[in-house]
Amino acid sequence: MLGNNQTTNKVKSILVPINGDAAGRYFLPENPEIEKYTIVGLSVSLSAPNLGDISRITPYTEGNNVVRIVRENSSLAERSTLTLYSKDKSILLYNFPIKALFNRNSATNNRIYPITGKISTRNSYISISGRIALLSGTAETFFLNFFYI
Amino acid sequence: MKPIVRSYLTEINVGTTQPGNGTNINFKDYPQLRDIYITGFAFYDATQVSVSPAGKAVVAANGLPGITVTLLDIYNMEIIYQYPSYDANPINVSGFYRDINPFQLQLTKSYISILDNSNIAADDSIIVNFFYISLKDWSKYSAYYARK
Repeated sequence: MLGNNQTTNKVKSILVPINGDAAGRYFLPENPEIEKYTIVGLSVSLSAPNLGDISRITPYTEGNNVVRIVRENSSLAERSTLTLYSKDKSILLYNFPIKALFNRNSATNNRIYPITGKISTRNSYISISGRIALLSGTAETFFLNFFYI
Repeated sequence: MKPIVRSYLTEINVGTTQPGNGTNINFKDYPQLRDIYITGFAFYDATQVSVSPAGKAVVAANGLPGITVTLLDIYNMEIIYQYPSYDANPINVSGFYRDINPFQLQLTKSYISILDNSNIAADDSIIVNFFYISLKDWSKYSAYYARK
């Protein structure tokens, strides 16, 4: 049985910069646009050039600054978890392993987790356990993809 | 896969010495996971999370085949009995998480069993993601899980 998930081709992304090597919480930037919609899936993009995923982007909000996407095989990716709060301030996801949300590999067949609900971005955060080494000391950025209807 | 309404990551630490074969270790009490219908679960290993949120090393990928999980409902029935944890890691089963016919979980009596400790070290943590719906929200979402 295939389940009863929603199908959508609409996706919005949130960038979460990690600009220090300290453990702790890094809150998602507030995004009222995403909060309007019902989320039906969640994935994360990691820098994995061998798998064809992106490694750097120039987001509109950053002007001409290129941001570096968190690498797939990095301690940062393996020590990070995502906590999402819903619109009613209850916990939707608690410490969901970020790397488990990375779906662009042959083992997971590009499947995404069918997370369902409306989120509150300002209360949600990425939590890092233990100190991490950033590439060349520069900031790295998590790239979260929210599929919505 | 069914929609995931809520998710909570739990952690079982094996203790300061390597656990012996045949050891059962109970889940801790998580207030968030009282009075819930469990709808699915997933195990992860060190390739996905190397350090747990509590700062402990996570059990290695070759440690999961030596671990099973037993989940009890509120009537002390072993609804899931000795389920292999390796099979519950989505990366081993084409990205699927294991969704189950929902039942009211009694987490504090549920446990994991160490069947083969050869790849499990002292102070390792086993992390388990529970997907659930709280009792008060059940009427709102139960249609997702109705038998077809």
